[in-house]
Amino acid sequence: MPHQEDIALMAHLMRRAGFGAHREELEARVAKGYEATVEELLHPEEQPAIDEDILYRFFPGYEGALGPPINQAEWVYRMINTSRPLEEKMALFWHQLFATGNSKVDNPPELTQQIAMFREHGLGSFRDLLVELAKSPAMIYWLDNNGNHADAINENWGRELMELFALGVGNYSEDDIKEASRAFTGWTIAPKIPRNPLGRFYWNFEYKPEDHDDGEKHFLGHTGNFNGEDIIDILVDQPASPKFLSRHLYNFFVADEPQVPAWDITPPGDPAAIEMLVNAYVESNYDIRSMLRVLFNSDFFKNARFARVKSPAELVVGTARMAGNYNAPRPGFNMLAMECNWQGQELLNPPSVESWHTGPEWIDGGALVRRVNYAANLMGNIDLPGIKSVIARIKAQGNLPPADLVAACLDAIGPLDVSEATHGELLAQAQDGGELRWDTEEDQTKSEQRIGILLSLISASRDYQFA
Amino acid sequence: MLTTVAAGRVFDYSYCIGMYGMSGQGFWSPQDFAFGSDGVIYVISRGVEEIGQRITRVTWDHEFLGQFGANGSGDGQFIWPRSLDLDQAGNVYASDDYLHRISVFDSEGGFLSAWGEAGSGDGQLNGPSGIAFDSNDNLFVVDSHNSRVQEFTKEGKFLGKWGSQGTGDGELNMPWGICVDREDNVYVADWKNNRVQKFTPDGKFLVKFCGNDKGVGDLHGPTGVAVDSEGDVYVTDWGNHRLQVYGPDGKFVTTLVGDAQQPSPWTQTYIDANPDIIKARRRADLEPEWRFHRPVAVNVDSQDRIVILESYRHRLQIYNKEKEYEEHSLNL
Amino acid sequence: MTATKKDPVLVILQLTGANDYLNTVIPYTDPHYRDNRPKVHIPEDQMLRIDDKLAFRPNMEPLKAIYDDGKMAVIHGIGFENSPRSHFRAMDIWHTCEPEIVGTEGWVAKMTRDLDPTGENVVKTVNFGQGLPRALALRGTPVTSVSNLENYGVLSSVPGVTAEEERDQLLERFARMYAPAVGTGPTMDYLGQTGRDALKGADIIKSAPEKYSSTIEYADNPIAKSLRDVARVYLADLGTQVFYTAHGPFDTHFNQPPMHTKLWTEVSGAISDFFADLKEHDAGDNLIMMLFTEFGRRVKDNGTGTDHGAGGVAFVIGDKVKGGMYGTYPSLKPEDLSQGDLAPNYDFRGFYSSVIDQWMGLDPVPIVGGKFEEMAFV
Repeated sequence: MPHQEDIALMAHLMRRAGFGAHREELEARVAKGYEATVEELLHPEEQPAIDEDILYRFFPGYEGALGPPINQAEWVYRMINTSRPLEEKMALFWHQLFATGNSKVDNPPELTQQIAMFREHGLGSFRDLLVELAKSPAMIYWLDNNGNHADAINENWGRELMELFALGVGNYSEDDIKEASRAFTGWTIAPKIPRNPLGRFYWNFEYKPEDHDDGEKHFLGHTGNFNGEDIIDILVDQPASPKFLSRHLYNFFVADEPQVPAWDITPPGDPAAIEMLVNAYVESNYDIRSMLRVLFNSDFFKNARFARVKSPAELVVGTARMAGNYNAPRPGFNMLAMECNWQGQELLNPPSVESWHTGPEWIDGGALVRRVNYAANLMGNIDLPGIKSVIARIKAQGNLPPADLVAACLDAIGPLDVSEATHGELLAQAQDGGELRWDTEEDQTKSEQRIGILLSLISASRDYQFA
Repeated sequence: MLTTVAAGRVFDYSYCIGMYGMSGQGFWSPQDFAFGSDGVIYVISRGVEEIGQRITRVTWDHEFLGQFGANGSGDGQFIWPRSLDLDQAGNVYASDDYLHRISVFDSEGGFLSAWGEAGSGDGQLNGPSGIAFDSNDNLFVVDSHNSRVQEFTKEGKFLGKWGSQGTGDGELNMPWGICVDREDNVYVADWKNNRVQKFTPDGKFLVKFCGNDKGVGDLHGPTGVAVDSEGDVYVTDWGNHRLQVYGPDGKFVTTLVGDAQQPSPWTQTYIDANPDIIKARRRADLEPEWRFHRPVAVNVDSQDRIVILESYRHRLQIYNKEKEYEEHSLNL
Repeated sequence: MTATKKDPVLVILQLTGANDYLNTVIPYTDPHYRDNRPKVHIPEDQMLRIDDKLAFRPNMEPLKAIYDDGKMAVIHGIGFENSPRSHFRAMDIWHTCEPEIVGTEGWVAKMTRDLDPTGENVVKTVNFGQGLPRALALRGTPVTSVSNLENYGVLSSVPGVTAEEERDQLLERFARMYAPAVGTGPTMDYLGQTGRDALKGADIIKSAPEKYSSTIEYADNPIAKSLRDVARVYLADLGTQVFYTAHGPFDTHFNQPPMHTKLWTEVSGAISDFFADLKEHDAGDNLIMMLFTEFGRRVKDNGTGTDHGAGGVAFVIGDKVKGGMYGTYPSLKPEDLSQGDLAPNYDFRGFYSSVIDQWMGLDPVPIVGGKFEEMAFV
């Protein structure tokens, strides 16, 4: 029997580095060990990828998806069914950081391609990732680099690259933006066949030397005939770069930080943690995997239980994974994608390049109502396979007094910590039904129903909003 | 190229039918088709979740005759339409691999009946994919998740079954399409095993058409299969976006990759209405548009016209097998 | 009805997917109309003639009656310069009034903030539909979004909970789980406050169906249902001043004639029933409704439908509306088209400004981001 604290820690790791795990998976991972699990997560290539043949056989419309929410549903399918949880979680991290939206791009398959690029490069070198990002057709269109010409620069990409993607405000001048933009002239997208009426065709990155400004540039103290890759080389060596990236990783994986626009005036909540991550970046030559290894094995991570408000994607996917019934192709993934939208996170369509505000700002009245109802309706559905297995686990403990029933429920879907107020209400609810009994058929039906309602109430709580 | 000459056969590209359409004239992620009488072709569209499920009736010369079927689990409705075939009376049978049933319509689309129940027992279905009638008007159904083929009467009475999960001869792994030749031999696209297997009418293994899985004569995820009057076998090599042609003995003959250089009239009208699309097309390399993308089903008609349906491009491409082809003079 | 002067109320109906201008208000005597629409046109003997140039499409009879009664304004050629042919981008521009950048603040939400700066009334603006359109998004400005008026609020459909008392008990538990608690931190406090507010909002909204009775029988379709919901909340006097709802999809690339007919049958019938309902309750004089769509459709048909265009048409309906034609129908002459589309000749921000300024009594400049030509239809 694994130690309860080990299970709780593993559950924490899997909520953060993935989208949560069932009790059975947690026990198997604890048997393997915490650090070994971290290594497994850091090497997704050793686990099987999603079988795209299966995906496109049953959902042919997912390939080159014509419009939302089909492309969003495809991603939700992957988040729920991946055997590479961290790869998918990192794709979400990069999507939230390099926010590219369909509201302007209007090309769902290209956004899906960008996410695939995050899967491929998201755990490697930050430098290589930025180069791929600069070549991502969806990004080029989103930030107008196709309109950035040798004889007339467009600064949109150059500015956001520094402000939002690599350094943060206050670490560059307006001149640096102009010079970086000059270096990225000629980075554009090739013409393609338009979409209708024969399905989608893909954009390709194209470098046009005749539209590239190959004059000398002065950028962040360096001088030379820089091209785009040189700019990225200089950027990743700026001291601001690892600080900025580390704070994003901390905010996404460890604990909620203030919103990004406040970062140049508000110091990090845990400067020592940021320093550890910065050191990992410097020592490893911008290797994301090395930074995450330090992060997941650190005490600051292990101690940060329930210190983040779940994003809608985390809440929707985590609950769907727990309740089950989405572990193979079936209708219903569109609804899960729409649920993310309605809770305030329209995947592949962030509100702007400044992305979503996170932490408590995920929550407003409408979003909270949706979060509560979505989770309570799934977790209370005792016909779903995941809930059936929770019930079986509780049933195996035999007849239970109310306090033990509450403890068993919190344990089976977490383990979850709850506040006194929540616990008091759960206990009161459990006490109304008295001892949980399995002696007769009538007992069984009633007990299953009681567990379902308790699970609903747990997932409606404030505590359930935290990862 | 528009004409492919290989091993004594000549395949000459003719024309294409169709375009994307969520309703009315057009198809949407079409999965299968069948020839009716009077020059009618029935095409079944899968659409996406909750929209676009339907069967379109179209003629060989591009006339849109109508559509039937809709999303749902009621009579005449589909959740995941997959395959169709016609009985000798011209009634239309269509499989649904989510509802595990076969729906039957008259030739105009009027709903007649539905049969099939979920399960793994005799006569029960789990993910029915390809369906095909034999000369006795009995229906073979690829029971995909049960890794077997089952035979039913038109009314859905169980007659027989063969196949089990595996990779050996006669075993199947998530099979998809099916066809029956003039001798009532049965060909099954053994999808996950990257091969086609040929069986006698009672399920005895005869020969396989394969390779594995991206080489010249290979298949990756074959979906549809058809046989012409001379016994040549055509397989939609879905994962490799091509049509593979094999001789009756299983020997690889050639590959067709799609040649729709001329848009269908429906597509052309669409393009003509949109000046910005015309402009964009003038700047683009159009070759990707000619080529098969997710060829999913193939049929051969009585004149040995080979018709290939593309799920991703929402169209049919038509080739003639030229029996009396005269070589051009090579010194032209 | 109370005798006091009531606040102006605005209903916004979004026709999602780009409504075909040419087949809605038809320039039937223009030879270019027939030339460009060989397949997707309205036969002359079926259209509802307005004058010797324009006609409404058939199945707009209920709206034609309102028009003839002088209570419907038709705003021609609406749109904006460099209209993108993308639904997503165009709708964003309509929602945020930001044609140059990707905006995040919705014009309706900004209006809401001006109507209720402290955010005191959480139902000042109510959306009927799922989620929140960007027009209603603005940090710190609460807007209530109702997907189902019958079944609104937290824990409204927990499986296995059918008895009213059982649900009430769960709601009480929810309230206590979200009660203020000392020392749990700002995020928990904020969640608690939000949860309690949501309960309060639901209680307010839930009172609406109970108060409502009417002889009007709305049709059974989504827009009729939404407008009936608007009527029920409006008549409950909850202080709501802006209602938002949408209908569609008007994206008729394929198989347009039957789709477009169905859509306008539903919209016309629902609007007509809605105003009849208000009339029955003697409550029509302080409410107007505006209809918009992200752009018009291409002039030339594509064989079975029409593709994305530019200039479009908008409508305003209500007792206080000065009915008639506003602006000019853009020319259909080939040389006047922009990439095959009607060139917009009236900026949508002027249309918004007219409503914000003359009806809502607010300053439109900060809401739409500048000064734009207004029209005097109210």
